[in-house]
Amino acid sequence: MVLDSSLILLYLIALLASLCCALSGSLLTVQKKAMLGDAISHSSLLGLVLAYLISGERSIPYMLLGALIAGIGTAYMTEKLKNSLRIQYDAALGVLFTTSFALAVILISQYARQVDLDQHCVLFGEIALAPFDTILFGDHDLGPRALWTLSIAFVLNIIVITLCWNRIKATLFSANFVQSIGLKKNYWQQLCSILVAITTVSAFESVGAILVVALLVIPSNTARLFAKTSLVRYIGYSLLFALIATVMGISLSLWLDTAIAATIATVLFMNFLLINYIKMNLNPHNKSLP
Amino acid sequence: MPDFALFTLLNEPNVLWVIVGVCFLAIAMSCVGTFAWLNRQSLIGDAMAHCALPGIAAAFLFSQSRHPLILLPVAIFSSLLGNMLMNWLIQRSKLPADSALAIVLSGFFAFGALLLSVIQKLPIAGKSGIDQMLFGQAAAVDDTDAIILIIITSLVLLVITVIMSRLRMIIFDTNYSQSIGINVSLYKQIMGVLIAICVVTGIQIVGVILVSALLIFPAINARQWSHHLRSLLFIAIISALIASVSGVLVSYHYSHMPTGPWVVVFLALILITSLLFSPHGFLIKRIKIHQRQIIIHAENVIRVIYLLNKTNKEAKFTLHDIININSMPLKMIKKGLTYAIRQNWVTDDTHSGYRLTQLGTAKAQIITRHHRLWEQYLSQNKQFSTQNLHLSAEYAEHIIDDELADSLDEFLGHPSKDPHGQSIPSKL
Repeated sequence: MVLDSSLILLYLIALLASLCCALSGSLLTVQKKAMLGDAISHSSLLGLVLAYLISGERSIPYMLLGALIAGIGTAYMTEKLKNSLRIQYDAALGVLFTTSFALAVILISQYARQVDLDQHCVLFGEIALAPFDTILFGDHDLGPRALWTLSIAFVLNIIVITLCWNRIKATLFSANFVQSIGLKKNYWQQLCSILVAITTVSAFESVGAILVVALLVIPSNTARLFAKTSLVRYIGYSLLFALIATVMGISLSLWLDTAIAATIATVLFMNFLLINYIKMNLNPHNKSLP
Repeated sequence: MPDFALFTLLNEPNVLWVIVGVCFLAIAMSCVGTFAWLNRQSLIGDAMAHCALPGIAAAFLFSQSRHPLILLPVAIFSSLLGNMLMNWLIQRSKLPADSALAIVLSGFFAFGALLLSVIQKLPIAGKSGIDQMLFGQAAAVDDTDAIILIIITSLVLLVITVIMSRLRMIIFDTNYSQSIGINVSLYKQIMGVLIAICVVTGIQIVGVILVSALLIFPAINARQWSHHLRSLLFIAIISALIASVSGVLVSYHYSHMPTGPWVVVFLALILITSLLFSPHGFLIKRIKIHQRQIIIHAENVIRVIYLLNKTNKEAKFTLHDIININSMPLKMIKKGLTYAIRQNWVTDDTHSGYRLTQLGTAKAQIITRHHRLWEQYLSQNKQFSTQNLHLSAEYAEHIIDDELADSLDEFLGHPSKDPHGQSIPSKL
């Protein structure tokens, strides 16, 4: 195994993606909206296709913007459907992401000659190519684009989490308590949804939808096994688990010659199951409960 | 003519098989989906569809064959494994249901993708396009597939009919069903098996992502129209059938169009229509509120004329007179007047002025009675200030019905005057 520059970049991109997702994911898990990331990543295909068709070229900023709008739109519409038409939250998610995905597939097959996108790239993604997709500014090579978008997403994540620190803390402690003391939910929920959309879109175009969902949900739920009330430990553990699994996953995939994103997600999942199992067997109180 | 061309498509046996196959799948999935939705497990289909991937990949890896009779059972087993893991995580490690769903979904799918990437590296014949199974090929349904789908659907429907009464009970009150000795977990497992069978067969036709739409849409759609389980199932099936047939026809009419996405688009269109036009739907609710508002305007207007009648014996009033008493916007007064004229409460004497008819006088008298009784009640029992009395009564006069007015009257001891000293009109 040779540690050349593209490999280091690959590690960097994967680590940034997993840190971003772990931060946003801890917000999602606290709010019991784990499937939002899945829905956003699927429906952003529609945004990508529309941006592609409207701008007429494979222009990355337009496509990111399109995906972002589709993602935020999904989050917003889900709240709308749930609140004003009283459709269950997860049913509303299911309705929205399947419809937009279906529309996207139809558009792709209609304009197949113009669009070189397909469902395959959304689902699986290929992080191995991310280091080679670089930004050129004049004659300068500014490094991989994914590194830039993910860095921006990471900074945004940190800003939002710092701003909402107390609110997240209260929700982690008890969601019902937050409702009962009458804190307004809308403002921060929408902020969180937008943040999740930004994270999902910037991560999934380099690592694929499935890894994004795994990175969003699994680290924070693993952390939850250890940190039930302390927010610092909760977020810290999430980041730690994401980091460990990412490094393990990449190394393993290079060794076994398998798909990188799939391997990272599988390692995350296996780690979660293992830790969950050990934790349950160490703690006799959990075992007796039905 | 496009319509004509659509129907000639039906003569092709190939299209017919696709329609039959998709329709039977839609029937089974909408039934199972309705129960899943009622159990608040809308996205379970999505999770179980993703969980089938490692099964498909492993079966292909070991058998090196793509025969559906080899791949399907393993895929069903794999998604059942996912379902069991989900239940275990929820019950034993107290994970929230949505987290358990997302974890199992992404974990299983990632493992499947890992196996696929292993397969790609191996020298196996026919490996290309194994991942295309994930995106569904409805157009590839032939007579054998259609017969398999018919058999699966009949089995699913048979099982559902047999356990329907128990399922209904569990959905209505899980704890009660458990307390009278129904084996709830057994029935939940049966539902899990049914969902797995439906979803895995559905993947080949509409694809792994869209298969959950066939479960969710019909149920939500039916819920807009009915509250009864039987009619819920019936409406769900009908809407799924309409969407499937339209989807297949459209995808055949315009060549190179995928069938699954079109079925989903039609399901979405049907759902949007239901959300707008059903009895509790968005538009109908708006219309009802609007009509109610117009009636309230009309009632306000005739009460103004009624009050004017008391002081002024002329009995004919212009818009100006009405506005002087009641400071409603002109538009509302006009709307109210139009309604009142249509109801024959008010006559419009060649535009010289508006006069109450006998019917209108009676109506206005009743409203005034409600208004003043309510004021009297509030001042006697609730210590309201005089200004608030009037405001509250302005709302209440439109809501109180005759029965309530009678009991108020009796409760207050048949008062003759309201707190402002005006007489309360008697009952007609």
